[in-house]
Amino acid sequence: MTVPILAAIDWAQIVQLTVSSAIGVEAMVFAMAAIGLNIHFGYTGLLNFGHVGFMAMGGYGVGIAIVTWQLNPYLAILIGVVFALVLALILGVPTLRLRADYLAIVTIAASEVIRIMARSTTLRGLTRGAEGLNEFAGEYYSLSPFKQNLYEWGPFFFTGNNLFIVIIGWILVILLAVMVWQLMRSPWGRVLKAIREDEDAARALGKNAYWYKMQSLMLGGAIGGMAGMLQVIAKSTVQPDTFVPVITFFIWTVLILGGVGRVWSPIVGSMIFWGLLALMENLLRQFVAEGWIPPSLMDSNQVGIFRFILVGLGLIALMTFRPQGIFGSREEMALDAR
Amino acid sequence: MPADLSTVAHEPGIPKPDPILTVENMRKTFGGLVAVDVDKLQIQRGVITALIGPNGAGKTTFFNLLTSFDTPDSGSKTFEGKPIDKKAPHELARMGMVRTFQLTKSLTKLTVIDNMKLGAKRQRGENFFRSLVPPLWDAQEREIEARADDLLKRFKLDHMREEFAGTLSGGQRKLLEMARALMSSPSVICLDEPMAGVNPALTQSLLEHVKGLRDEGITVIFVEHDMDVVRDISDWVVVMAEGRVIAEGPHETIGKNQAVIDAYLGAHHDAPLSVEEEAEQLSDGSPGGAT
Repeated sequence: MTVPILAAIDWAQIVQLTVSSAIGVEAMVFAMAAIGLNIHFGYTGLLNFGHVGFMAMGGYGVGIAIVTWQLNPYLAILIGVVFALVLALILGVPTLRLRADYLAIVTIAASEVIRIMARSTTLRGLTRGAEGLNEFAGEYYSLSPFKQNLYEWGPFFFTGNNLFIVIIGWILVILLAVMVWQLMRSPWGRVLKAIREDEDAARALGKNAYWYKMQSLMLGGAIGGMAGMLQVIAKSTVQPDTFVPVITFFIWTVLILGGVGRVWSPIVGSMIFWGLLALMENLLRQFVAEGWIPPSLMDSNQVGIFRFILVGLGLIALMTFRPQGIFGSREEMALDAR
Repeated sequence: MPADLSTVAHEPGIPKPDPILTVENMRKTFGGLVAVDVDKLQIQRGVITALIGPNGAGKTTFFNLLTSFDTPDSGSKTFEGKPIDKKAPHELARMGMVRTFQLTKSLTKLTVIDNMKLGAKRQRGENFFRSLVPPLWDAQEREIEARADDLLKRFKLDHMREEFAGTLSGGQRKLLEMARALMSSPSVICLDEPMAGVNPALTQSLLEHVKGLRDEGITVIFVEHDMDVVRDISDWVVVMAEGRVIAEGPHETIGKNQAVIDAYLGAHHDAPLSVEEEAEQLSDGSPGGAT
């Protein structure tokens, strides 16, 4: 029974879509965002539940600088980073002196405040409200060496612009991962990890825990802002409703999947997350199209939602059988329980 | 033991010839409870001062106030003659006053050697930008590591060097915490119940370490419940009860001090009961009266 079903599936297409998704724009953007979140949570223990807010600040920084302020696109990138850093300061100054949970509350609220402000009519002059800022990335793509419309390698294809942003993005992701690796094996990283384990102990040893937490929040926030910039440049549009809270939780999923506090886990976690989503979506779509899943149970419109249910189940299984994620160490995790 | 404490009178709040730490009128209340109310206390440089008192006497709170982990309602303190009321805990640590905690704070997911290296002061690699350029801090890091290895050997933890601190036993964690505090080359070290939960065999070696610190010229202040320990290593004992300093002196005189005995045992513990009191207690305790 199962063999003819598997034979009837267009595996080439599924592999092509899965791999394209695993190395595509979204995987790249989420890998970068998760690198930022890993600095916050994985190394410093900061509970940031509003990481999408940093992405929004980065994205809007670029969009506003180019469209509204008519600035040079390279200056715009700097402004995007500055926006994210300002958000880190605003969040950090009042909350980092308090217990960890206060930051969690404030970040999740702040990310929604940013989105709602961006789509408000009051700031229309700056952000163009719900329709967002559009068609501003042309300048960046003029740098692209990929002038053809479509590039194909066997079953894989990318548009020229897409290929450009994906390559730039992944190079940046690798560079940032190497930077994190270097930071975390330095005395600076040692202080962050000490704060994660016990802030008072770090203080008693002469470390200014508040300032280190602020540096961590700013660094991870700036990286989140860069991820947001890449996302909006890839789409050449900034819209408020792309920065919804669920994005934050996808980033958390990516990070936990890979293993918290490991240098390469954001990258691998993101590739697996987006690859799996594409795999399941296309597999289910073909099942539905072939009639193996009866329409009374699920139609093709419900596939997109159902795959997230599967992702949820997969995460529950992961937490049960491999709570440390792909790269984490179980022994290290067990130390917390002692 | 430095001889100059021998001339100091055995009175609470008495000035010392060479104080490294002084506290005046320090008060801390939690709601209606006065946790600490110390009029005056001076800590002599280079000796081991024990801080004792019954449970709830305010010893740990006083420690927290001293090291700025808690802020007093009022009062002032000086360290090496300089006022330190506005200093944050990490600033005091940098000035040379480190502390340990009653519940050990070993950084469980750092290795023992990383725990130790964290303790060192003025690390160049702890600056964000410099940390990205290893040649700027490599040499210092190696020097710190050598010092850490020496201390680990002294505290007999060298075989655990690469293990996560979370795998250490309770006693080993106490040792690690003390060794880590020493990495900062402090002039004052405040130990909050260093012997609590440590097995007797290890206690002896911990005591030797504490005495060793004094011999190196480090001022030691420690909170302790075990009177044998206090008798063994302290040069000077400060007794607290109900937030106040009620007695000071070498341990020989403390045991005979009436205020101390009263604080520990109650003011009338050895007075004979009057006939009326005896009758009252008997009737309270008698089950026959109720039925």
